[in-house]
Amino acid sequence: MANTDRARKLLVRTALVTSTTIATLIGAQNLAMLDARAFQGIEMADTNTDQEIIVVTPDAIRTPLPVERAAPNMTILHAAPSITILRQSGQISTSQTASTSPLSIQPPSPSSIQPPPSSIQPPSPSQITAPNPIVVQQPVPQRSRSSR
Amino acid sequence: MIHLIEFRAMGCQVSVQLEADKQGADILRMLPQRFANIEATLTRFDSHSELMRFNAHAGEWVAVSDLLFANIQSAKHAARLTDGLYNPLILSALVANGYDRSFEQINTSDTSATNPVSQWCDIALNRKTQEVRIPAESAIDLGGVAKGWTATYIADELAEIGACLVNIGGDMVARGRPSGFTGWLVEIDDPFTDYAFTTIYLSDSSISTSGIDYRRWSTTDSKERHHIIDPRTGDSATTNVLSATIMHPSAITSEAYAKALILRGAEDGLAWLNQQWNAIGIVFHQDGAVLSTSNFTHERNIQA
Repeated sequence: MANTDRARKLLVRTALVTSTTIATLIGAQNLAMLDARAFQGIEMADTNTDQEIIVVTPDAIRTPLPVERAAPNMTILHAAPSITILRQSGQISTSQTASTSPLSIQPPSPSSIQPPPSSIQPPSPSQITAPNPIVVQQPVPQRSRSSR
Repeated sequence: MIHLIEFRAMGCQVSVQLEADKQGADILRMLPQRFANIEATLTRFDSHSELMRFNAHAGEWVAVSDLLFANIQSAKHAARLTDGLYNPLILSALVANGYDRSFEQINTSDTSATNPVSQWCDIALNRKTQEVRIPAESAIDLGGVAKGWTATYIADELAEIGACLVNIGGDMVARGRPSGFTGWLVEIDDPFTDYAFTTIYLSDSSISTSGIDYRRWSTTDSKERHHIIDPRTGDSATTNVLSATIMHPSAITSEAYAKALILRGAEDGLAWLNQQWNAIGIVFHQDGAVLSTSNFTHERNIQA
């Protein structure tokens, strides 16, 4: 009788230990899977963040930055860090070029045509004078261009 | 009051403004003769000028005047600053390309075979004896450096009297600023329209423009040539730049940088110019675009 009780107790204890062990293993496995999913989620989130930083639309690059300029119609675009575009190719102001186009010239009437002088006379020495300074009310704007 | 005098010298229109009292007029009246004396020493179009007599002795040590020594020294310095893209030893190449007389006299020109341009670093200077030696069979053309040097020299003299602006054919040196103004008003020419592209106020600084939009000629072999010689080939430069304007405290440096920028091309030239101390540049691309160094947008008032 005593041996039977002892055997039953041993069986119950063995069953408890076994079930506890199995439950621990299953729980640990589930926790590991949860961690794995969470880690994958973090990785994906990181990747998405990087992509958001890298992707820049061409429109964003070409957005003109208004800068106060001497010439009010000038738009400034930043192309490369070291170069600024002040005017795109093919954007020469037509209002300026139009005003430089030659005026139509009427031919002179025959009566107004004078015969050319028979010879070119050199200026007399009294006509040649050293340049004299003049006084101006305010500084005269000067034009910088290739030497002429 | 501001006095203004205008006359022709060094193959260009010269304009000088000086803020001074009545004595200003007397001082300006002396300038045409001062310019004539400098030009007589430095011109390459007169075989009797000191420069051309010096060139005739290439390969030998020659004692030269203070004026010529200072200009050759400046030219060598400019060549160093531009890694040789500005090279004063291009005279033979200019002549070979047909620029053998004053530009006003060129209609159609003969050309001859071009030779490689001698190395600028072979220009030897002895400060103690004030002697100079250039490689045999080479010759110096000071070009824009002589204008920059002269403008600086005259402006520094006038600055002792008052604020001034010296303009030699579009290359300018400013000293001080006229009363009531933030600087001397300077327009930057748009070579496509002949109008001002933009305006700046210049004080205690300089501005130089160089380009292939002017001083062009045809040769008897029906080729178009211009005066910007590429020292690497000895021929008129092939470039996408129509004209380049440089602002810099030194007029000699701005002259040299303008040439170098044309030879480097618009994009590479501006990227290079951005790395140079205190240089501001604007480039008119042959396709009509206008580019500048990044510092130009913030620099309406140009001063040293």
